[in-house]
Amino acid sequence: MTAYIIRRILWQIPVLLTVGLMTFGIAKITPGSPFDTDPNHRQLAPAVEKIMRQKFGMDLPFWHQFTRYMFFDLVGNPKTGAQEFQWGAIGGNFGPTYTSRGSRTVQQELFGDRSGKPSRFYYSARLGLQALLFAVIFGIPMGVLAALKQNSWIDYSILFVSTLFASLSNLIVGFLLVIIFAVSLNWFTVIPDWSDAIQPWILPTLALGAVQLGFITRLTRSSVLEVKRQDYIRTAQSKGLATQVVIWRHMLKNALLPVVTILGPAAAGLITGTLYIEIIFQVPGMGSLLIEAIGKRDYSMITAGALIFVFFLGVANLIVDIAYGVIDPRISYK
Amino acid sequence: MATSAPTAGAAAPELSAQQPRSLWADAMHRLLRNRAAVAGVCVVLIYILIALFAPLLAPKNPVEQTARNSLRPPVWVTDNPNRMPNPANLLGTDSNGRDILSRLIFGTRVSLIVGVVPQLIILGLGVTVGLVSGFNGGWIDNLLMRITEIVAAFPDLLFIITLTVAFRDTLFGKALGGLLLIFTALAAVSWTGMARLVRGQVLSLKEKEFVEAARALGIPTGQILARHILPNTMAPIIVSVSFSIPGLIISEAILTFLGVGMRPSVDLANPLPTSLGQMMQEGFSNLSSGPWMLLFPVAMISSLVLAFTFVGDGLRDALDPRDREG
Repeated sequence: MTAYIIRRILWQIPVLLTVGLMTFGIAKITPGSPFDTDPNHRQLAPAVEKIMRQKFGMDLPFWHQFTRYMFFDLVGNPKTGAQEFQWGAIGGNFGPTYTSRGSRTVQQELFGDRSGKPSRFYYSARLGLQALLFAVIFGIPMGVLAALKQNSWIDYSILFVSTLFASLSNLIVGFLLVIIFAVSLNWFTVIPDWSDAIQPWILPTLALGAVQLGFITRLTRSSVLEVKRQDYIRTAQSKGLATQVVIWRHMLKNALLPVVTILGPAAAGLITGTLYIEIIFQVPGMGSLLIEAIGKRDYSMITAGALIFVFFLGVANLIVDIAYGVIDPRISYK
Repeated sequence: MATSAPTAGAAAPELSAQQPRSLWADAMHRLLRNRAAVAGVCVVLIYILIALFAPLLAPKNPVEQTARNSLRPPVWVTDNPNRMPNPANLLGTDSNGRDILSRLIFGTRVSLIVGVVPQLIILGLGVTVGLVSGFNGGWIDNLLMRITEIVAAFPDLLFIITLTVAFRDTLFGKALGGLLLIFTALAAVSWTGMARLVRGQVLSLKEKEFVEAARALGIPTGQILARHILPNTMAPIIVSVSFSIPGLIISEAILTFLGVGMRPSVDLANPLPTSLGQMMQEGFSNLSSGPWMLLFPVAMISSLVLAFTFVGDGLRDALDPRDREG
């Protein structure tokens, strides 16, 4: 088990390196410089741009830029002129953002400075966790209920709703929620007020969690149905055990195991879902910041976003794998 | 289907009435009994007809802008005296005075194309990688699967967006109003699932007796792959394709909504003037003037995506009889 976990963690290293190299490379070959893409901004004088290019190390060869960004480098201190050691992304330093002309770093933008305001990361992480909770808390009971009442109208309506959610994608669900609850019924404001602790979170959480809710419901249902047909359930029933005991002790314990496996892909869906859900509901999170950064060719921000997403995906999958091994002793990792 | 055998009805009458049906005829029979799947097929066919005959069906040119005729509601919405519908525009007009019904009709074209063209690239790439990897094994398999794993580890949407932004202003990125770039980018991240599926199938198939027999007869590898292994992987491939079409359609909508997908067109003769994703973006930015501009494309995409999902569900149940219960 330990060896397996270590191998899994080590495998993340080439994955992160490749993701970093590809995103960084794509961002670099994009025509146009990050200093001339925002027509609303004051354009830079050529002399200033030259200084900026130097400051961001854009005159260095590609490999040097990449290693400086990913690992570490010796950087000249502009005041003293001395060479100083500086960590790259592996040390948590993603460098200055281009949009801020170098006055703010990526980690300040994403994880917040010490101003006490909630960070971009906070909004995205809270939204993702809320959506996951929503999907699990409603999805599992709905799936169990549908399976226990198989072929009844309850089963059919739950199956219909979950198929609808699972196939429609959170973009469509998000639009539908906006049209129904914000525009037609006026229960929510279209422009959210983030000082409110609950109200602005409701619609984006529902929209982001809806697809996972559909998947979890469907998987729980088919898993319970599978277990329901097993011999040991019939044995338990014929022993004369109370129905409740059979359902809780014998059926659910076994049926919920496969549901854990979906949490890995669910995390992936939640992470990429934040990109457009945050735009639809104007959440000031990482997703909307990244979309902005891509439009402005903010290389350091784009690469940081991809690395952070992949990192959290890897962590989520690892947790799921370990959890699965812990709750199901039959699984052995080699 | 390439391998479909004559059905029971078409067989010679002197054979027994109990003549076994081929896998495909059997699957077809099961598919036709599934009402949701048949309804899905019908909806998809209707959309294909709409897309094919769009110029005949559309009452107006989808890019023609009419002055002082913008943001009209659909004809049945008459509650706002300041903004009355124009009887000539059944579903109203957008912020540029273009007819929404006509735009919807033309918009289905892009959604259908985007469900099919990247799929062909995904098939080509995924099946090749899966076949080579599964059949050869060894270091080739190891290498190909590592590459697949890395590509699959990418957050696909972020990668597609980065790709489309990077190549947007090149000649390639401008082709077909940006569609060519979307096709390529979508395919570049979506082939991994297909590769893994085919590899898994090949791994189990190559141990089967009929493959061993073919090898013992000295049949060249290429022929074994093409004649004996590939046809047996068809069923899961078809199911996987039918499930990934809705995903591609939605992805185009997401990309265009985020402003990195299809470009708006002002060319009156453009056969692909707009997409449902573009209409959603326009509808969303004009949300305060009325929800219908967003509602109509959302409804169109939803019904199309649901139809494909029902077809996919039906195909899976039809081709994989193990799942028939429950």
